Amino acid sequence: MEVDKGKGEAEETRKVAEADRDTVTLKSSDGKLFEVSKEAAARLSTVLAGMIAGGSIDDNGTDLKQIGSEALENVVDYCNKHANSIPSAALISSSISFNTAPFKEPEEWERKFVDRLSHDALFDLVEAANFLGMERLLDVTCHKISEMMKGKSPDQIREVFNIKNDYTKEELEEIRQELAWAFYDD
Amino acid sequence: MHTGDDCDKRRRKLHAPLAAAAAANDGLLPADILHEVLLRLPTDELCRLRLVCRSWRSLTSDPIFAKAHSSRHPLLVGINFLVGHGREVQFVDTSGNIVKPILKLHWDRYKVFYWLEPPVGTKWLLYKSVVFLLRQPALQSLTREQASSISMAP
Repeated sequence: MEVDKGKGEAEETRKVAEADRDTVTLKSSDGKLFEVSKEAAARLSTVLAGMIAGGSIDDNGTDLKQIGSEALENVVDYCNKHANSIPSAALISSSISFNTAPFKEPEEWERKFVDRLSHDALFDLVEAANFLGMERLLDVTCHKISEMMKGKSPDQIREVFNIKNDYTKEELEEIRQELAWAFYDD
Repeated sequence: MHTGDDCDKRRRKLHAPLAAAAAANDGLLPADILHEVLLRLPTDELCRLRLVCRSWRSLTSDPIFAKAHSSRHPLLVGINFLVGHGREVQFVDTSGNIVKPILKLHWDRYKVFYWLEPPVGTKWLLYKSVVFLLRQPALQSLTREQASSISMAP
């Protein structure tokens, strides 16, 4: 997030006013406004934390052009629910890229939160979480998607995830031989 | 790092997005997110997913992915019982849960695994059995020569 350095006093005044508010207003790609607790936003999203710290939060709605209203509503909903749940030290995860510990299981409310989403809403939310640097929400949504893959045949996976089979019959047979152990109980 | 681009290109929209939701999902799972998702799957699932499409195979075969995956999943212990002329192998996690039983495998079937020295304190020694450790995801190849040179416990 870039901090605009050249706007002088007006900018400073706006920043002070912004600092007084305890919520931030986010604007979806389709122009809908959502309010979220500043504390939760800063804690759960590295991108929003950076914007808040850098003063690039707009009182009239910070533009999040990458995120549609349904996904943003889910993001805000998640932040609110998270703020209301008892903070668990175990859930304060470190950076995804460098974390080498086994993945933490989603909590019950998080499971319910993603279970109610449609396929498209889930995919939108995982992208929004990725875009906003929301590690925990990314964790929870990726976990859900990985659950959707478990126990499914390659054909079923292609159907659910809308993927075209680009292998030849011979190639498929070759890989199948290579991985025969994984098909033991198929 | 391989990406899922090839795969993504082939994917179509599942549903027409709402006109209002300009940034609505287009049915694609971006490569970096797919990477995160696949990291969460156990090795046998991952291997099956290699059959989905070429880019998924590339991604799961990538050494960087394999390394990230192995560091996120706990050690597995394989117990190799001698059963007649064949072998019975169970892949067991560190809690003793059987992850996957595999019967009568030949060494060449193990080529998707690489093997590690058993750590100090391992208690998986059984009478007339062979004990070894393997580590997920074992997505690297092990040649027949390497497999036959694995030292076996008494």
